[in-house]
Amino acid sequence: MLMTDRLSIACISPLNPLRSGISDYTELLLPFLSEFFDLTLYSDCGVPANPLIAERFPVYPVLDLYKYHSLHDLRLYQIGNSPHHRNAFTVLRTLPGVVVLHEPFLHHGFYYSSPLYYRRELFYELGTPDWARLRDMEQALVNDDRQALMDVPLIGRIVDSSLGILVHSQTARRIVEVCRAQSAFCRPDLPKIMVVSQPMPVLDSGEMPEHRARLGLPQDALIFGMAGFIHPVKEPYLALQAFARLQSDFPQALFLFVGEVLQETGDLLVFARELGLADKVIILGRVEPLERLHQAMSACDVVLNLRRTTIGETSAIALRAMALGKPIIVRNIGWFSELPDEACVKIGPEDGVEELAAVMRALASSPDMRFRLGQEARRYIERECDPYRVARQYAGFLWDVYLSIAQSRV
Amino acid sequence: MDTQRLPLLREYDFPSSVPLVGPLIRLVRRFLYGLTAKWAMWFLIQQQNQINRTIEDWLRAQEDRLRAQEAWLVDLDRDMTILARTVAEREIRQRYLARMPESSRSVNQIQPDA
Repeated sequence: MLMTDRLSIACISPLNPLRSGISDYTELLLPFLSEFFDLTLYSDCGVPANPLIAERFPVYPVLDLYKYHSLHDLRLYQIGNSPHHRNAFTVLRTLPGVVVLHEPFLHHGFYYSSPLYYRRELFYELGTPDWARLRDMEQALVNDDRQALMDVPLIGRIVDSSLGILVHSQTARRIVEVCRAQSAFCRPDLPKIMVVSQPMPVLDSGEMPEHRARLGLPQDALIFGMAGFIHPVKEPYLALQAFARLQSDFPQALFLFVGEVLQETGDLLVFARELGLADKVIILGRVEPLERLHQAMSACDVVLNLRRTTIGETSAIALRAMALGKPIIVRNIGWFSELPDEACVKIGPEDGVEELAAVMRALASSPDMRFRLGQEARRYIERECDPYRVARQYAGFLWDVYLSIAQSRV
Repeated sequence: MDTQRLPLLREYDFPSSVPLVGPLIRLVRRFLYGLTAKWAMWFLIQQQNQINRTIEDWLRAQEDRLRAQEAWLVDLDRDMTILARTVAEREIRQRYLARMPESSRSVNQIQPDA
């Protein structure tokens, strides 16, 4: 069989209108991936919101894979920590394939799919029905104590059953490899693991004055932004505290939240008022479609993308900001520590308000530094995240997995 | 597992909260109870305690059995996972062989293990 033959791939993933970063990810990658493979999509999205996807690819409900699995050479699962993957988790138990693990941590995904699934996966990973541990884990989940959950990432079954695993960072790879080393079924040749960049095209940031005018933002303001779901792990309160320290030197500065503020985050405006920032903080809420999100992010001078704690995830929002040529501030942990130093500003894993305020001040006072970081960020995206390059990496890996299994001695 | 045994049935104590004559009332009630019902009640309590203890032991045995079965289910789940992977690999190989020309297929199939 030649590499020029086309494999039929069943691609199992959420798609828009299911609101998930993985929906956007898959829709971006599919046209490039279809240059290498015949793709059939399995998604519980109903009719895909993206007309290009709906017209170009056959789309079936995920559970239909039970009927049609024998028509495909390989299955490719896009799996993340969300209940959007509920049926994919079910099918994956009996029809394993290559898994793209967007986060090597699936507690929320399993728990909010079904507490019964969660129990099953936890006992699977522990190797024993440990009810006391289950109670501790459920408590940690309710309190969103990710650190307490990290030593049991709940990827054991995926590591045991998958024919190959793709991850987006060395951090994620290490977590998967630790899990594989503990597996009772560890085989040195399988599953193969590869790190592949997250696809992200270089985006046209357009004209900042235009975007600001559209959003009613002052042209002369220095705008710090935080985008995507505003969750406590992104440390919005720390960011506001640091921002408050800049007010005396940069009275024209604003802080813009571009994204849905989740319930567990609390009321950011009340906190801003307590800090005397009532007229300096703007919350845009969820911004759709992606073009509008990009315009709102383009209106910012600096984008903050902090994490405490990380679960080995990559951040599409951080990559979007970089693709728009924006300087970003991140913590030096997990995947973020793998970003090149010249393309972003990093604060330490334990740094607090003072350290964050210091880097925000440095960026606020130096347009040159902001420009340079933005240019480097854009170059990084061009170099590493080009969707065609990523699709080629996918293709190489899928062929490698396929041939190593197909040509192995029985 | 909760190792504490269930409490045993006890006789009623006939309290009285009436001031001054309360202890007398209590004494009279206890006397009447002792005269009319005590022995029959004592016999019933012993019987019921025996029944309760038997049911409790049976439930605890079931609980132990359930835990053993849960552990067994986890083992089976793990076995099923590895079986699913093996089947998936076979499925790939089968489709691969089906796509190959027949001549090279037979050669490929009879190659000994490396």
